[in-house]
Amino acid sequence: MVEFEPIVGRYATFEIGGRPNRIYIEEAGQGIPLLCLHTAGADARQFRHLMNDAEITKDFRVVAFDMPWHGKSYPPEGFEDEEYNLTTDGYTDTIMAVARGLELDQPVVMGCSMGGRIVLHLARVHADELGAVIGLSGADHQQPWYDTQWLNRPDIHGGQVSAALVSGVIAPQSPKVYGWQTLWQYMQSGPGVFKGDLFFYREDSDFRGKVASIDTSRCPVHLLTGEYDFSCTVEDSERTSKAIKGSTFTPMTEMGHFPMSENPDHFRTYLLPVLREIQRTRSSASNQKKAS
Amino acid sequence: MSIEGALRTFMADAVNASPPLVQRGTLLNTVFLMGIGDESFYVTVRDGRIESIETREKPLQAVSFSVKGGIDAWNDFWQPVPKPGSYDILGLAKVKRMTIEGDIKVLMTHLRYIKEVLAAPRGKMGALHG
Repeated sequence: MVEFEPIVGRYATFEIGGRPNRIYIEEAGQGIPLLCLHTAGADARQFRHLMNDAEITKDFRVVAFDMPWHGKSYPPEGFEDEEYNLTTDGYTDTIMAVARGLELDQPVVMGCSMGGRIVLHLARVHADELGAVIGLSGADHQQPWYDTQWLNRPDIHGGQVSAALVSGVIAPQSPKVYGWQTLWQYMQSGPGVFKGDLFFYREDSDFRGKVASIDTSRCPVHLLTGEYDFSCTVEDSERTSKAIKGSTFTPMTEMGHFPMSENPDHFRTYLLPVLREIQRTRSSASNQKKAS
Repeated sequence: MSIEGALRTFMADAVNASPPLVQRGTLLNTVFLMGIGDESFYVTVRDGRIESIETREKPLQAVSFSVKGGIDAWNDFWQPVPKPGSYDILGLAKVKRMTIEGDIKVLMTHLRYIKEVLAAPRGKMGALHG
């Protein structure tokens, strides 16, 4: 008999924007809910290593879902005549629908790339429902480095060009097998999905000037970015962290844009201290509540 | 060894000796330009193989796209383990240490292949001098 990994996957339907969306959710572990958001054009397989890390799953219920249109989550009914464009409101509604639908108690939301961007919005508008946010490869704004029109054309293979574009933000030190698995998800992505996610990233989420209003006493903010990430640079994330009073920023050496997917062994050395700090803060807040 | 000789050995020969890489470029037939410092290298690709690398421009030669950078940019790109910011031509272009121009559609259609061709000499070129 084969040995199963601890990851369990299930489907549930959530109403988002007035439409039913059947969403695929994976999870492993118990304890503090850690709700994970995948990058643009990819899916929740990016968090497979975290879910197999017993030191994390002994204290955290790691939950990761495929956004609609991604992975094993179908697009909503009628998608065949729609052009997918993710918006700040749509993305927020999706995340909160999943968090509330799963009845997660003060979840820690950890997002990468576009996920690292949206957590800055969540910390601002849903601080009281969240335990903390962690932004991986995230910042309030980044400079674009290619035209997204190349991503969805009948005369260019969308999966191949998407993977080839992001191959350069995976660090050379990351294990090749994990790097290529990360790229495989981009190769598999549905037509126009990566492009549609980048509508949020490029057009609908310039949070410069807005992040300063985040109250980290209500919702702690932790940012981590890899030095080989030229899409969201260490400078971008450091600038963002400086604008958010009380936030933390950790630059990661020998790391690219997909830390949890491309180099889990190296990433956990940076993530574990952040998780421990979140545990400590959460425990302290809980004790204060009991005392009052 | 001249840059032209080094490119023939460490880029053209290396690419042509890799059947999987040649297969990935099997539908590409083009001439693209590599600008390294003040020198220009015309790289002819035929069915995924590097057919020639020439420094002499033919009259009215058709070039689809160009990737140009200073000597230092290419040196950094071709380090065995490039430093952050020097690992990818698009990353170098973002910070304007390289420029990529011309028929970008050809580049994008075959982006993985072209990136792998340009990276083939990594760790082998030695320090280029202008």
